[in-house]
Amino acid sequence: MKNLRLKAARAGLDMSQQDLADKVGVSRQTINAIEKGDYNPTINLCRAICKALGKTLDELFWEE
Amino acid sequence: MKGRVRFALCLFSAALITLFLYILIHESGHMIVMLSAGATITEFSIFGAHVSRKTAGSDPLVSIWVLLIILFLLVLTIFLSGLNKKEDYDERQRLERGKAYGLGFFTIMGSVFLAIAIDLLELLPVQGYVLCAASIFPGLMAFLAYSIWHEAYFSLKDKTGALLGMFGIIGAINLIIAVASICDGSMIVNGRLGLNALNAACAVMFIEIFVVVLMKKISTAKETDEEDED
Repeated sequence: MKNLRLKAARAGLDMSQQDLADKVGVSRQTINAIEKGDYNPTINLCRAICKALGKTLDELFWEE
Repeated sequence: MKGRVRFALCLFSAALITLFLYILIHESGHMIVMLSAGATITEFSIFGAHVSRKTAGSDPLVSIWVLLIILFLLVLTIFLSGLNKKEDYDERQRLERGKAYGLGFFTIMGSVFLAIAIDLLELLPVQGYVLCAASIFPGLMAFLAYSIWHEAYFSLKDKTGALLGMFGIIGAINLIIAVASICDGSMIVNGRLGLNALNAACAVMFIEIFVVVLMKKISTAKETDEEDED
C-alpha cells in the first residue's frame, strides 16, 4: 500500500527522495520503495524518517 | 512433515554442493601450481579428486613467484576487508542481498548438477575443469542481476563510476583474450573447449553487469521524471 502521507510530508519540505535518503542514511531506492508500498521499514528507520520530516509515527505510518 | 522433507533435501543438496566446491577449489589449487610451473593439464577429475599433468620442462622459480603473488593478494584482501567492518548497506539492501544470495545459491545448484550430467554423459566436448569452473558463472550472474536491479549490489559508499570502470577494463581484457584464443585456435585443446573458454564466460558476466546497470539507470530516470511531474 502506497504511503502518500510520507510523500506529501517530504514534498511539503521541498525535499527530493535523494535528500531524504541522505538525511536518514539510506539509499534513494529505499525511500522510493517505502513510498510505493513495496517495502515495510523497521521501527528504527520509521523513527529516523519521522525525525527528518518533523512528523510523528502516527502521522506518517499509522494505517487508518 | 513437508517442512522437514524440504529441510532434509536442502541439507543434502548443500552438503553435495559443498563437497563438490571443496574438491574443485582443492584440485584447482594443484592445477594453478602445475600450470605456473609450465606443465600441461591432461586430466581434471572432481569425484575422482585428482589432477594429472604432462610436464614439459618446468621452472620452479616461476611457480614460486606465482605462489608468492597469490599469497600477497590473499593477505592484502583479508587485510583490506578487515579495515571496513562497518556495513554500508541499508536494511532494505541487506534484505535484497539475502534474496540475491539465495537465488545465486539455487542457480549454482542447478548449474552444478547440469555440469555433472554433461561431464558424465559426455554431452559436450569441454574439458572437465572448464565445465566445473563454468558452472559457477550462472549463479554469479543471477546474484549480480538481482542485486543490481534491486540496487543492493553497490553499497551506499561505493564509488560506482570507479567500480564500473574497473569492471569494464577486466571485461575488455577477458574479451580480448577470448577473441584472440578463438582466432589462434588455442580455445580448443585436444578437441575439447579449454581454459580460455573461461575468459569468454568472464567477459559475458561483465557485459551483463553493464547491461543491467544501464537498464536500471533508464528505469530510475523514468521514476525520477514521474516523481518530478507529481
